[in-house]
Amino acid sequence: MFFLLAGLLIAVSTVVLLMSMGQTMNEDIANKLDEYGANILIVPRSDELSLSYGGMAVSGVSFDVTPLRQDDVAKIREIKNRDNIKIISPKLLNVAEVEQTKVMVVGVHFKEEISLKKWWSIIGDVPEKEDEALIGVDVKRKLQLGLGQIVLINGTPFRVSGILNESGSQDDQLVFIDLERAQRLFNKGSEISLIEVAALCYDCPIEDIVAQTSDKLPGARVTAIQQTIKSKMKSIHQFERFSLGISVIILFVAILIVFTTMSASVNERKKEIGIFRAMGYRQSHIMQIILQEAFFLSTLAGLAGYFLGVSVSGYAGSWIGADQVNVHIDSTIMGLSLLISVVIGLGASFYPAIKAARLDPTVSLQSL
Amino acid sequence: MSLIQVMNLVKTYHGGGETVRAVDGVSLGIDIGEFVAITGTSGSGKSTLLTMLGGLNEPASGRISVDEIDIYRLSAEQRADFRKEYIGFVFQAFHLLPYLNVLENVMIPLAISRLSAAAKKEKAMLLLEKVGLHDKALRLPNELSGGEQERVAIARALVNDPPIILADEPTGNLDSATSGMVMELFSRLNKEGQTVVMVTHDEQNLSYATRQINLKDGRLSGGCQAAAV
Ligand SMILES: Nc1ncnc2c1ncn2[C@@H]1O[C@H](COP(=O)(O)OP(=O)(O)OP(=O)(O)O)[C@@H](O)[C@H]1O
Ligand SMILES: [Mg+2]
Repeated sequence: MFFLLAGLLIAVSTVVLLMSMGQTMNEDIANKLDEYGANILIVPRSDELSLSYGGMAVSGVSFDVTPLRQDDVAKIREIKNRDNIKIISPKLLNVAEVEQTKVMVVGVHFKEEISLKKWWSIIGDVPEKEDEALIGVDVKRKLQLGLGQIVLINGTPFRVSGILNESGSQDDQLVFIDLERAQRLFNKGSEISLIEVAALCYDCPIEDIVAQTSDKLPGARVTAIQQTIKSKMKSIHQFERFSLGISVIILFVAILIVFTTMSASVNERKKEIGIFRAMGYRQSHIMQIILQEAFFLSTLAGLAGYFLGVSVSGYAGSWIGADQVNVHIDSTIMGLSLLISVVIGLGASFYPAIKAARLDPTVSLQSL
Repeated sequence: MSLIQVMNLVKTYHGGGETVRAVDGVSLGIDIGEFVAITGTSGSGKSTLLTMLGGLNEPASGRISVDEIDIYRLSAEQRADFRKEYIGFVFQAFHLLPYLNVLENVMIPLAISRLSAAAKKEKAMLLLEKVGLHDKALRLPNELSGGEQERVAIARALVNDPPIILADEPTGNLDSATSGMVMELFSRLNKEGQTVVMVTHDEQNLSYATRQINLKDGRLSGGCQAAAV
């Protein structure tokens, strides 16, 4: 009986451990997801093939393109999986004359852009007023600008409120100003060059969100950007599949343990069963006794195994390097581990119980 | 009409390539209130006959009816119910469960009855009183003497009020003084109207019986056979 209890307990707790580790990894990646930036890019549909990353090279060059508009942003919020969309950052790109040099100026909503680009480090302040600008470090070097200085963009004065530290990306060569201000400055109305979207999508295929967005914006080209997040998610899925395999094996071993323990117990108690039968217990009574015992033990093992698994997963979570380990009592997993335990306990005891019920009492009692 | 009627009973065992006719054509009748002693040498078929009387051991052929019920035409589950209703077994090896106390051991046959918990306990205590062990109800079997354990086994056999007690060498493990006490108990129960069928080796026990049946190689021997059929 001890082995039955211990076997089921270890099996259930291992399965719970694997399940909650998978869950922790998923939650962890969901928490970290926005650190990876945008994973969907929306640009106007164009016949040209030369659109490179960000489409920045083509801005203002393609004439046969229907540009995106401000109200397209709102449409993205209407897709079926809208709850998965975390950040929408529309941008207007335009080449402008800054201090006699041609520089790419980007109109953005700073709040969205900042949360999209978690890795940005800024000296000074993020622009708050319309006449403030954030400049890339290359722009600063080339034009020899400093914090608080006034620059002329196409003749309009802006104050440099912040400088972007070296990011190693195109951002270093850009000047960022407020989106609406940029639209007015370049006479673009409500035009938008591209939209970057960060979708939190660890449980749904990113392709679905892309497809839904395409439906809403027929004039746009929506693409998913391959990212590190994807390979990370892939490794989580691999882990989950691996866990499933291990769980199946463990549960199979548990079935064998329950079966052998129960069979041995029935063997040991042949005499007792013979006594019961002589006293008028039916075969069904004997089965009931054995199965009740199995039920009691497996319920106990299921509960204890669940709590053991949960508490061990607390340590295991930090061991695999999850930042945030939420050890919480999940009633679904608890119910599931109880169910697994009881199903295995009863299922694997069924044959021994039948064997017990069919024992010949005269043989069991031998010397009556 | 006898309480127990045995007609042409045969039981064969197959083992080691040969067939043993453990009980070989026995017919007899036992009336209510009899105290029957079954005697015979070892291997003569006494235990086999007794278990067959108790509905525990299916015969190869022949018929046993108890209270006009042909017990081997019942289904296995019905026969379990029959045992509960009609038979109290007393074993030579006591067969008490070591992890249950005296009271709980006596209550085993009641566990499957519909009585309330309190009624079961009351019933068991009543029987323990009858065998003189009510003050030891909470002891474990291994804290009792052999004679006391046998009396617990007798109380357990009686707890369902069965009309028939079947005992297989109940004094086989006891010294002669203790043996005498246990036999006194059987005799007293018999005088109160209990039908008793007992397998025994012990000459000393025969004086308590109202009738003796002797078995030899699975057959009845001696003058009294089939007299009551
Ligand atoms: N389960 C069994 N399988 C095979 N043979 C058996 C079995 N039970 C009894 N026998 C045989 O049947 C015959 C009668 O056995 P039984 O136990 O009825 O004798 P008994 O009169 O009770 O003997 P004892 O006085 O030693 O208890 C014996 O030859 C025995 O070996
Ligand atoms: Mg015998």
